[in-house]
Amino acid sequence: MHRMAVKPGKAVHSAAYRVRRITARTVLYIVTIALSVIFFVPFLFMVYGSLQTTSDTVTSWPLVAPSFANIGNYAEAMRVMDFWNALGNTMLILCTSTLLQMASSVLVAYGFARFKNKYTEPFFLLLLSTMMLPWIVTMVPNYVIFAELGFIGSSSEFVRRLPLILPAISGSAFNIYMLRNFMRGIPKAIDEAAELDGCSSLGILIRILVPNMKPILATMLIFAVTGSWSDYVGPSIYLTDKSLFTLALSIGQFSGSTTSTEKQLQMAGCTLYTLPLLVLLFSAQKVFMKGIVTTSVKE
Amino acid sequence: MVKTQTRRRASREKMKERKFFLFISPWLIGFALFSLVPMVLSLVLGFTWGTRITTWTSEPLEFSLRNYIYIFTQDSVFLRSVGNTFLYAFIRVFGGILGATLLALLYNNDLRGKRLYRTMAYAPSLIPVTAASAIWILMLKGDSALVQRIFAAIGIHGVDLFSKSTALLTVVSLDLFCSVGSTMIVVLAALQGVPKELEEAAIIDGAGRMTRFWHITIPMISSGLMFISVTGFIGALQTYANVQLLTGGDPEYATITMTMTVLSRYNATNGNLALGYACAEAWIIFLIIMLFTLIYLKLVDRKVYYGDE
Repeated sequence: MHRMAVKPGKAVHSAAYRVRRITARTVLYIVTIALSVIFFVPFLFMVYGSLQTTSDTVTSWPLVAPSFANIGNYAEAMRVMDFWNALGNTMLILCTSTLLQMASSVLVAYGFARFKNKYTEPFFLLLLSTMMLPWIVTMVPNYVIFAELGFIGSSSEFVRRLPLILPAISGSAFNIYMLRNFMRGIPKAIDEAAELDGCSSLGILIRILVPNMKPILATMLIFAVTGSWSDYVGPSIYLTDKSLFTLALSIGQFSGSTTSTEKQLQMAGCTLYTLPLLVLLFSAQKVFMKGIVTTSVKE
Repeated sequence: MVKTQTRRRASREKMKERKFFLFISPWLIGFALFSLVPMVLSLVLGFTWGTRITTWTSEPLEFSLRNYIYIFTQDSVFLRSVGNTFLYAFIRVFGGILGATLLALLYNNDLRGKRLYRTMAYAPSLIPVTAASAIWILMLKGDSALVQRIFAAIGIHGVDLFSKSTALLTVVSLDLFCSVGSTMIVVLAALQGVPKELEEAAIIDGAGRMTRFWHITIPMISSGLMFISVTGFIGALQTYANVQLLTGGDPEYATITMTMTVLSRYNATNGNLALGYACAEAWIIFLIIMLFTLIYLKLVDRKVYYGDE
């Protein structure tokens, strides 16, 4: 009845109202789409630049039409930036540190969520306070410690990478906080039933809690992966050897204003480096959009 | 009977405690090794005058306040960096919130393909910092940059986006451009949490669009905005990579930030590090950020609506 009353009401709107409404919608569409395209300009410029013939046309005005005949720029960029080696270095650090960080976060969150005792609160506050700790305070002494332990000049390539991997053992304070809240939302009765059936604490975590947290874990995984893929500060401090350079570093070294690398190759390199993230974003839009809200501001 | 029960309960409690520490041990170990020990070490080293990593353990350490006195009385670059960083952070945080809120109001409209538009607005925040600075340099920096050539073609000359007076503003603007979409998504979520009934009730009462925005929308999302601003400040006050890559602190320290001064104490070519000095600077930065966050929280907290309690 109520609905009936509203709908005919709409029908009697005057033609002038309808015209105004349609104009407003059109303007809204134009503004929204124009803004979205502006946000995409860096990507467009990057791809445009990567398909230029010479360094000078990348930034020339009026614009020069890009051509797929220049696709060879990508092969040349890969050679200049030692792409496959850098990709391997990036993936090695990414996989190990992400796995370590996620595993630790889950275990620690489980401890905080399910084994309440008189120490839980103070340790949890300590954990939360580490989120406010600036990285700069620990960075210098950490460098000194790793240098003293012989990690930095070590003859083993793996050991030289360890300063970028080992700290992941503390997990991410933010992830621990989120996971602990999530676990507390899962009824304890399920745990207790499993315990009566002879399931160990670790078994409960792996068989019951983790399968229930797949969406939030997927979100965290995506942010850990994109974070590690893009990380510049850590590698720039610890990886001085060119053979250990990650993609961030090899892009960084030819993108400075003092570089001699041709501009179209710079842009081809940037495209190769950025494209995987863009593909990930558009194929997992929902996970990203939800994740930004739950994990809020990153960095 | 009662005794065995309490004893059993006590042993259960002990068991719980043991498991608690077992499960949080990865974090405890990591925290101790990579946060606590380094922090204490850097506090101690901040009172020393060490310069080389390899010698600071073999030479006897002399403790003094020299570093701290020097930083506050002689080191104009550090003081400059504090000013730069705060200017940067204020523009970044409040500009970000203003921009994100306006964008969110636009992107909150029910349009066809709205999710695609939102994703596109978010996309720039995913560009890795090294790639982003490469793109910005080719587009904006120097006479051969694209935008400079466009300016020249339409007869505008002498616009230097990276001069002493403009560089900081340019760097913040680029950071804002990249990050505002991500903040917008958070504001959007807050907007969707505003109860529709409130809005409708206000319409019935004859409240206009602006009145509803200032008296309903803003208070209802204020706790979300406050969260964004606090985490935003903690992040922006530590700005490093994007500025380092775009300007390196130039020209004439116009864009140097607090964290950049610390890392500039390390000389990559000879491996020398003004270790004690860097540690003292890092601790001052830590205290500045802590103090600022606490004061900011105190000032803003009263103005925020957290729901009926």
